[in-house]
Amino acid sequence: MAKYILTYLDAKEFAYIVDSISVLVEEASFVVRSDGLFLRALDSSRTAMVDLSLPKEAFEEFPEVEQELKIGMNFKDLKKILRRIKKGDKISMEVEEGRVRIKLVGKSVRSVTLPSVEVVGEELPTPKVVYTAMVKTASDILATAVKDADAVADEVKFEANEEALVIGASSDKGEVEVRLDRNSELVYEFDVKEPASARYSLEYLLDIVGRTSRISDIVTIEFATAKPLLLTFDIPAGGKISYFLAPRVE
Amino acid sequence: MDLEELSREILTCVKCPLHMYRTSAVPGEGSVKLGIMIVGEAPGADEDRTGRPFVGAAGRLLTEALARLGVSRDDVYITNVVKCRPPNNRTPTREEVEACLPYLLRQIELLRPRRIVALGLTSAKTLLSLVGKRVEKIGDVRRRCFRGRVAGVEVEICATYHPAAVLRNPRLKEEFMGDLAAFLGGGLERFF
Repeated sequence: MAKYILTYLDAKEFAYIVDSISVLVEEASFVVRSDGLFLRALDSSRTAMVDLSLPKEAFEEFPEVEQELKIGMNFKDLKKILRRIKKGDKISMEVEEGRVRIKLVGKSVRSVTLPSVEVVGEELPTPKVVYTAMVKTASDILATAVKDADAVADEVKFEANEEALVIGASSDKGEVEVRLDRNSELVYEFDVKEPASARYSLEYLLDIVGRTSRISDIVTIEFATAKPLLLTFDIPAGGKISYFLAPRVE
Repeated sequence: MDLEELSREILTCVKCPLHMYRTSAVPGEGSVKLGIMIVGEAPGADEDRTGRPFVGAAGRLLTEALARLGVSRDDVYITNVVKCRPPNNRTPTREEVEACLPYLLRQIELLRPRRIVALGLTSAKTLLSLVGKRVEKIGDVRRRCFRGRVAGVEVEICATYHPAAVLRNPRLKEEFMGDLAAFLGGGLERFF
């Protein structure tokens, strides 16, 4: 059987990507296509979906594949291995005969072989949503807003109008409001076609934003009234990781 | 009679021997803002102590599952088929279920839910028998909803595992979460 090798220069960044995926799923399949590495998976409650795309240009080494190659991974196990990464390491995944050898290449070469797990997966479509609000901002602004909301409530409200995006939460413990005016220095893009308001559970959002903001300084927030939230984080080496989160049931 | 009066009646009930062992009866709590009622089997030790349903380990799992779905506990009505704790958390007897059932029926009549989620075999068996469905194993009816008229209310009764069973067998968690997402309509799939 052929051996397929993928090498990513910044192992630390790859570990952050894996960590960000593991917020939602324990097992999922990387899909290698001729143009890059992809992963799309729904969490067990089917309320949140992660969508990763890394173009082949993001890799130092990327295999030629005639048809797509699935690499089923247990992300809990993979995360444990990636904890051993040292600064400056690069990472290789060698896929051969149902096994994946993870090689961490730095001052020495350390390798661990994992079985490629059989993931029963379905083809997941992209949620059909017309987003009426889009704001591109610094990911730590979003991370802080979500953390603030978590201090008082278990859900967060996103509201946008022509002037600003307001992220807020309230409960009997108190109220939190983070306002991002369209002309603010940290708002890089702002496009609100019509006012939008939606509430989302903080259950996942806190982890998603907390972990993914380590990969990317910039996040694109898209939503519409009572529709899913779409958060897109650009990955420095190229590609992006996105999350779709279902709105609260009202 | 309103829900509050009914709850007071439940708190002083002596219709079956379970009242002799209880610290507090557990009538139920929440609202039917979303048209949903969640019905478990019977209170456990934590529930008996606090008088609130699903506040122990199984309750935490249920609350977490609801939160992930974007559903607040306050927006669904949570109760049990049997309102008092059976000693040592044993399964309630048929006599205990029959003695307590009028309370559940009155709760349904007053709250008028559009969907009732039955957690576990005792709840599924009891509720589905009211719409003429016999249940032997939870696996036979899990993830399915049955329509019928209960206490004069048109409802759908949907069955899944009891969260305590999920705690005992964590491999069921994914199915349990998926079932709740399907029943409560909180999933992303409605946008696919």
